[in-house]
Amino acid sequence: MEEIRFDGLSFRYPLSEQDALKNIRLTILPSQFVVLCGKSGCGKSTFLRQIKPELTPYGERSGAVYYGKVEISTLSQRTSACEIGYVLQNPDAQIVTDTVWHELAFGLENLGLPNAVIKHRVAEMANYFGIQTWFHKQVSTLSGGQKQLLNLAAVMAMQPSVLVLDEPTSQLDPIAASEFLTTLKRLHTDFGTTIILSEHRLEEAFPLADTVIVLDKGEVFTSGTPSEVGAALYRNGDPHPMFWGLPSMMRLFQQCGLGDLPLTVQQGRNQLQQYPLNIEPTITQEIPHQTLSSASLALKDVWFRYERNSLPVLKSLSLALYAGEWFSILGGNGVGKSTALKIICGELKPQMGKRLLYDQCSIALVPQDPLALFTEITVEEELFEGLSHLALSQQEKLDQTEEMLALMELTELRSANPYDLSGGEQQRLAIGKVLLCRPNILLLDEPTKGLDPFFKRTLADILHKLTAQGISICMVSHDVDFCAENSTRCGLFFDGELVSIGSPTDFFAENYFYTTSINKLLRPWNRKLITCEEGCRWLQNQL
Amino acid sequence: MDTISFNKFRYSEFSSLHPLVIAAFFLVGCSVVMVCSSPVVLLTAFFSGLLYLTYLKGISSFFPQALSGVCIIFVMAVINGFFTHDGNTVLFYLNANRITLEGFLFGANAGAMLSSVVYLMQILSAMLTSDKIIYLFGRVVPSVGLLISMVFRSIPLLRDRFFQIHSAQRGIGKTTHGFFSNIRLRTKEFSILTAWSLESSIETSDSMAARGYGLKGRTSFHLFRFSSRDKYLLAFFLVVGILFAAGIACGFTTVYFYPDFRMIAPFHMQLLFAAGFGAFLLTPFIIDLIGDRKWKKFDLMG
Repeated sequence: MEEIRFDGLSFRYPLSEQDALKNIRLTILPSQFVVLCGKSGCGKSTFLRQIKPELTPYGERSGAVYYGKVEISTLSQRTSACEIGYVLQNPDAQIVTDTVWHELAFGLENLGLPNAVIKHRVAEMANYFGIQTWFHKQVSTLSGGQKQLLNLAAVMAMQPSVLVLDEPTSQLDPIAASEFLTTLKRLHTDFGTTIILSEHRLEEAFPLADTVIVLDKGEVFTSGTPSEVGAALYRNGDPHPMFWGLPSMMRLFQQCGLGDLPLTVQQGRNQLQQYPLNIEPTITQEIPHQTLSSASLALKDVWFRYERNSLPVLKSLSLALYAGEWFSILGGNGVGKSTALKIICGELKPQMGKRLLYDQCSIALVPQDPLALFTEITVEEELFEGLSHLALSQQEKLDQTEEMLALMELTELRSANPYDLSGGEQQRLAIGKVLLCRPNILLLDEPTKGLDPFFKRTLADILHKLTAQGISICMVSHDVDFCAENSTRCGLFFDGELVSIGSPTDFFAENYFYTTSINKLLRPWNRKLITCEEGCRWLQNQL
Repeated sequence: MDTISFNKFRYSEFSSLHPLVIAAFFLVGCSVVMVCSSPVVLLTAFFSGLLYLTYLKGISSFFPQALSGVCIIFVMAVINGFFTHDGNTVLFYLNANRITLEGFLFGANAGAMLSSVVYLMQILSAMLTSDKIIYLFGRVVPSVGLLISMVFRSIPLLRDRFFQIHSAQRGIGKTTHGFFSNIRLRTKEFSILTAWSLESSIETSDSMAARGYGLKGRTSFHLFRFSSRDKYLLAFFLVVGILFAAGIACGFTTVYFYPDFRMIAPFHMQLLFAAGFGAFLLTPFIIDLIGDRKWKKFDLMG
């Protein structure tokens, strides 16, 4: 077990004007669980890649990183491969071979171990990670969560003493993500592996961490225990942008000035017990019933199955979308949410039931992976291409492109290649391109996947601007907080239909499991509080 | 085992043997068929191949399989008969060209060889699933084994990505009217697929480098067990292979068609060879039948 020491490390990419990492001095002790956070593009990946010599990008470097007593760039490839495990972001792209068992063995093959040893190690890992039931499967048949777990197991089979993970959960749904993080915690407690994890999903990563490091523009802004970092991000009532990424419970306690910051609902409840809080009765408000005629689109008893002999994915699904509203569909994996979007979009035709469109509606769908849309080499041309099939003059097209660049806050990135943008910027570009089709219904499939919490706020602002123009938004999402804070109506999708629909307040007040952590915390007193702001206002009134 | 297999076949006990044994069987079988010119031996190969293939694919496949074999024989006979004019037994003249019995016979014989090899290859494709192919190539050149494995990985990956791209393009209202706009859209989709895949292959190579790819002395892992059954069968196939080679060297299977049909070894030696070769080709079939019997006895539900 060796410690990792950064000794005044600075790093600059070629042709870049500023340092990507500035004078980093810190020590990561053996068996520590470190969570690294910061806005997209603050240098998290660059930082992590300095710990793994094979992945260190090319550029100017000063200072040093020590692994024990050895400068890390002089580490032999064999030692680095064995001792420092590295898990990347994209579950699909990391997998090299075609079957699960071969993938588990890949690193061990590289080390040149004999068959019997590999068999032993692979068997061990498969057992530990619960992979034995899908050991012989083709990797293409696995779910995203299983793929990422496989990547982790394949790295762990090499028995590293340091495990570096670069946003490993950003492409996973919350359930798979929390399973992944739980597995990490188990690894950490069982084997004492040093874990360095960069994450956006701080809600779940914070309780796991021994130390949190916040990076800001390539510098260490603050580091310490989760509570210390929470306090440091909100000094003198002036929140650092990363403050918005903190777990909402920490933000609530911080903003209300309630002392010790809790990491779990249980800790938070215990602390609130000390205060004399009133229990508020729950009154269900009658939602003003909108008639179908004011809807811009409606589905009526839609049934859909993919194959003749398969079970129906949608079972008598009915829903209506009204102009200028933001409708969020929540629900687990594989319940038919994405299929429902494709039906609304018109890409799939229902086998029974009707899809009704009112007044010359046009619909556009933003796919889950924005890369599926990009064809051009610059951001500008990408947007321009989106207009190619419209009958407009060249000047009009240029004007509209310009307008969209401004709306999506992409003007400064106009000549960048879409593939060089960060996840959040790609998402914005995709939405921009789709909006150029002038839809009055915008469908979004998991728009917050892989976005940093800071950028989520920008995205929400942009989408609110659109609803103000009368565009209706229908969004499928796993992100409970994002839905709670922004939507007009929420619905829970289960077993092929929407089982409950209501305003976010009523919707989440009725839910026990599927709700925001603020709601879970304050439920005993007031079930109607779902967002951090509401909770904060209520608590401040009470105290 | 959940692997890419190219057709639907019934479970075969023989395919559960070690890949080296399976490879040895097909190597011996195909080599003998390809150097033989004896019609007796080739017909034996034709019928044993057809029998085993029918067993694997089910009785309903018998007729189409047999028909395709007979067609190959017929077509080869006709082509050779009309284009080769050697041979002494003239049937008739066509534009002053001799059309001979020997010409037709030689063609039919070549057709029997061709269709036997086709049957053997179809059986081979049922036996060799992707993991066995990767193992066999990996034995010879380890990097080729890995390459094949990566190809098998990327086929479904690219297919899924293409569906995503196609669906995304439809989602933003890109539909096609007519042939040319269809081609334009497909080209665009294909170019997205290329860019996306190249981009993600950078991450793949990072993940390979991070796990020590490129270190000296890479081994090639597999899950196959070489049991004593495999050992005996492999030895058996090798011994039989040597015997066949000796028989072929002695001319037991050599037959001349031109100018007259002529055998160089006594006919009963040819029959003996054919019987031995037929028994060899039916070894997998016998192993499968024994396997089936065992399973019937083992039926847990009584």
